Amino acid sequence: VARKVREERGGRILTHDNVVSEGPLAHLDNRWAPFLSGALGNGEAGIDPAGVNLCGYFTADAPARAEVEALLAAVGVRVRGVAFPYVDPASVAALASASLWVVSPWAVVEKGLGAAVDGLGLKALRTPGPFGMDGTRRWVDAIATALGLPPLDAGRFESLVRPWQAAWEGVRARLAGRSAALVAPGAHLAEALGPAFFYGLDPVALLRDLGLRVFLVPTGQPGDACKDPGAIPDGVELILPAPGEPVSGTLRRAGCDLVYSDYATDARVLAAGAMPFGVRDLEPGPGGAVRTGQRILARCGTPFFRSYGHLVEGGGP
Amino acid sequence: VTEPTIRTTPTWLDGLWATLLGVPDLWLVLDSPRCMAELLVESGAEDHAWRQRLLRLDGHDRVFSTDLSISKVDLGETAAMLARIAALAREGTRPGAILVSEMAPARVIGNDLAALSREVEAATGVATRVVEHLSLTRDGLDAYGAAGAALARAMPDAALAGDRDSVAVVGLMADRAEADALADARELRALVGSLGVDVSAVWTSCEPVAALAAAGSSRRIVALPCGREAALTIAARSGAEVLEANLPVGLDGTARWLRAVGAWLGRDREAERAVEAGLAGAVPLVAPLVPSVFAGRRIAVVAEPALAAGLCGWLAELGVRVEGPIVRCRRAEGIPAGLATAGDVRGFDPSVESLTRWMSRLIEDGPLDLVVGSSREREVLRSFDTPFLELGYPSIHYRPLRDAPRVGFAGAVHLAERLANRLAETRYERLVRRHARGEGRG
Repeated sequence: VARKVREERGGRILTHDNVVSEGPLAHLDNRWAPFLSGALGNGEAGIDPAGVNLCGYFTADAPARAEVEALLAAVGVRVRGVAFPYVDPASVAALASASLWVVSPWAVVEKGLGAAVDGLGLKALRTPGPFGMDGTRRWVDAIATALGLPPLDAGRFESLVRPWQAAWEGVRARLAGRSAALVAPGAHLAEALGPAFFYGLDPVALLRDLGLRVFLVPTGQPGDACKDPGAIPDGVELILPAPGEPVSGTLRRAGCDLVYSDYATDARVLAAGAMPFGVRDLEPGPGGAVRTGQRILARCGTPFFRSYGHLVEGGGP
Repeated sequence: VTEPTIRTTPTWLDGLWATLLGVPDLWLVLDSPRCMAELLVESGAEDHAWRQRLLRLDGHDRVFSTDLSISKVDLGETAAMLARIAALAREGTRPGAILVSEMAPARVIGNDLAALSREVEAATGVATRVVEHLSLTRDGLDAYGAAGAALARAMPDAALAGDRDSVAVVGLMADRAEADALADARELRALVGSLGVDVSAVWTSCEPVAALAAAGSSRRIVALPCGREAALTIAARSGAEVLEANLPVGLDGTARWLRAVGAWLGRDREAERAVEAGLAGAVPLVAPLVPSVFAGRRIAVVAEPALAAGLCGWLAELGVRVEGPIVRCRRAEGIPAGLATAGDVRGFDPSVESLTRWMSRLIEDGPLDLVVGSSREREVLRSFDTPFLELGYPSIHYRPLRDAPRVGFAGAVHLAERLANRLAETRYERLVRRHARGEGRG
């Protein structure tokens, strides 16, 4: 189709498949470079020194986009385009004018788009996504700093997020005393909890920002987790499995309300009397922080598995 | 009456229809204009129940009007109706009992019901009792209770002897001989049976009057909310002990019900075993739905008082944020504390006005995933773009053909299944709409 249009109408035609899932992205890794190369053209577009492209944090139509654009505007940053998992067609022409590519450190983004950005010699910033209220502020500050702009002062940030502040404080108050557990291989804690693996965000920082107690349950050989104490994030409570104890047993002993799992119905979590939560519950931006808290709160408030977890099948190792 | 719009609470006549639909050989003589009786039967009972007809094309009706009219009222003319009902009782399927009641206008101009009842009994030879009439101030549940008490008075003395060790369950409103009410009756029988006792009868269970009369032989009666009058009437005649209990709805509701009944019967260990077995069967079926479908959903409930508390408790167990319930009864007395208001909206006796205002407030507060109520609330709320699940009398657009219980462990599973499927359907419909608008590709 693109070739026919080019033949008939002339001009510059870019092609890029819009994809929505991680699977097909793997096949598209090598297409980002030619696409970006075409989108950037011959450098005829003027460069906006305060212009950025946001890559891999959210889709172009996500509510978070407007939320963080307002915050970035407050420090003088202009969002030129949004890319990954697909490119917003409306902003393709503007991509070239950004002076900074802000790229999620999630490995899936890095492998295709991040590599292409580096390969083309574009100025890039890797920083964990704007999840939670603190995380959002750190993200805005990191972008401002990378552009040589002054970060937001505390008062200005508070006034900008005031529309969500009461709801945020309410959610945090109701989550006080609740707990969430992260289960990760003890020998690879730093990787498993790092943004490259964890969808480009810092899970511990987000959970603590929500006001939750955070438990860490290392799996694998006893002692793995203790070999590198530096890999254990600050503020987490380490729950070591007893010899031969299944994960569900350790989680039940921890008495946590929530456990992170990529499986929505992870029987090991349910059998432990806890509710699973996943990346689908997490949403970037200040409004997204409130909505994330509300989803987490709803999961904490579900008593089913506290009452009946012991009857769930398949809660073995 | 504080506002004039139509109420959706089942009316006095609805209660009579529900009683008739739950007892296949029970007849009703209604002091009323014939056309009004026929119209109301058709618009109430016959839309709700497909497998029974109270008015039949072959003339073998179960509702008989006195054909009351202004022109005949001074004459007290009931001879034609008496001749017809006597002929049908003689030549057709013989009724187990006959109830006599009246429509509201007949309260002023109608026949003497006690005399009418005696005439019907004399003409048919069938036990006939008056249902005390309070149609202007009471609702369908009152009528169901009063009709049950009348049935209990009609019970022959001979029914009061027999196996005294059994237990009767009185007060299930089996309002149609279809797979939901039939399954409820079977579940109740199974729950009590799991305690190691015989069940003499479940009132009402779409079984004939003679089967219900077996309740008279039991030394103990579990009285459910809709059957307290009937249970006390039977007990006054038979000397039985009565335990007042709620409907066993939801897993926790059913477990607590079994433990309470078990303790009353001195069968705590059997109750504990039954609870353990029931939960072990139900939990693995429901568990995957809780994190993936129910947690964090927001569902509004309009329900009969007997169902409301149990249903809301079950939804809360599943992780649902419950709005309401709005309770479908005419008076605030007798409904659980805290349910009389829902915000600034009346929490009982829903009307077009109160339901519309309530719904508007709920939607203002945030996305609402589902409304649960009867066909009447569905009709009132049809202009709102909120999915609806029919539950209660009448359910015109929901007709289960296979087991569809609402009570007991099986009922908890079935309710979860219905709710989850409706929520999943809604999710898909919304996804399609978003994609049609070009949103949500990521």
